[in-house]
Amino acid sequence: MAELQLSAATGVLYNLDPMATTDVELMLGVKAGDEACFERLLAKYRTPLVSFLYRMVRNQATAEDLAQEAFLRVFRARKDYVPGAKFTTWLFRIATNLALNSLRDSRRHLRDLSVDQTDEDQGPGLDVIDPAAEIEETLVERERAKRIWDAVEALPEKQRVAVLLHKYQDLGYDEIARILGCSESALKSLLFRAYETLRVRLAPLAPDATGAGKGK
Amino acid sequence: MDCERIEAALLAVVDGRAAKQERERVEGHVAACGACARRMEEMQGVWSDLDSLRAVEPSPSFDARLRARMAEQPARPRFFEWMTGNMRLVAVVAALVAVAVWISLRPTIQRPAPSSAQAQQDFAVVKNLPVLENYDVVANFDVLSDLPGAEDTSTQPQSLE
Ligand SMILES: [Zn+2]
Repeated sequence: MAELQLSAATGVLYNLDPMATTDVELMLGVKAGDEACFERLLAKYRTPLVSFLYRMVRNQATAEDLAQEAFLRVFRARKDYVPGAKFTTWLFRIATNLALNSLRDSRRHLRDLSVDQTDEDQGPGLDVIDPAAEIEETLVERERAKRIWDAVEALPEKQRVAVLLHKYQDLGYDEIARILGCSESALKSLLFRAYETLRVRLAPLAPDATGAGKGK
Repeated sequence: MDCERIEAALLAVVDGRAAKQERERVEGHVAACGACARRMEEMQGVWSDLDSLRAVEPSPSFDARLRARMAEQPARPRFFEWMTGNMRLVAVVAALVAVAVWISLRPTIQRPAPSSAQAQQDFAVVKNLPVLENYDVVANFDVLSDLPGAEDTSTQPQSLE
């Protein structure tokens, strides 16, 4: 099983118990009715999934709702699970699809609203800031973060998914490509265009971008 | 000289996914080429800008709410699992037709005063139908069927602009 080695190789973002069995083994446990295996998958992917969805929809309640839906679908499909594709590919495919549908629905909803209502409701956005986030966040940083959020949000949706998976999830190009259903080279050019667009849009921010290091 | 190829490889160096060999090739070029060095710096700038899209922790009630939703799920009728997609459709349609016929015939037999038991029975039938109809949705693995295709520009249903 080449699959098992692959998933063992990555573990930076997820709180991996060193003794943990692989996702495939856990999922087979879920299939066999082992409650504890589902518990462990949940513990491992809850935060990455909610964060990914939060960055997609920019609303915590919606993100959590969608993450639950994704776990629910995994659980309901457990009997049909066949170890093949990586578990994360499957999970993030489900999540991506849910997020895109949710965004389309809320866009449709906003359009309908704007017909007979001035745009009082801007939809999910930065206005939803939970207390924890406000700690030590200066106005300048807030403004800066908002520009970055907006730049990412303005990307075509597939580029946006690609960037979010690429930047924040510990996934290889091959896996991201599989999540998006495209070839690896298509993914790379997708990412290239996306980062190029971001570079242009964020260019005015550049002067104080120094010293931030290499990211994660 | 082969700046174009270096440019294509820059991202994998910045994101840390490049293999050692590739990284060394890029770094070697960048050390000697001002234009590519600048490109790399810009790429690193964007990469670290993105650090400010913070992650969120799921709220404490996340698991409890998920459990509640898991408990809600309808029990699958056993025999249904043995059917293929078409047979399921036929079964659902047949069930609907049977109910329609039953409903349309019923009033002639028993009009005057529908007992509350009768009403409850009606309700039970109506309540169970969506379970059948939803089954294919629940069992559907191809969750990405409406993700935009490989060409992100042409197949996009709604443009973000
Ligand atoms: Zn060069």
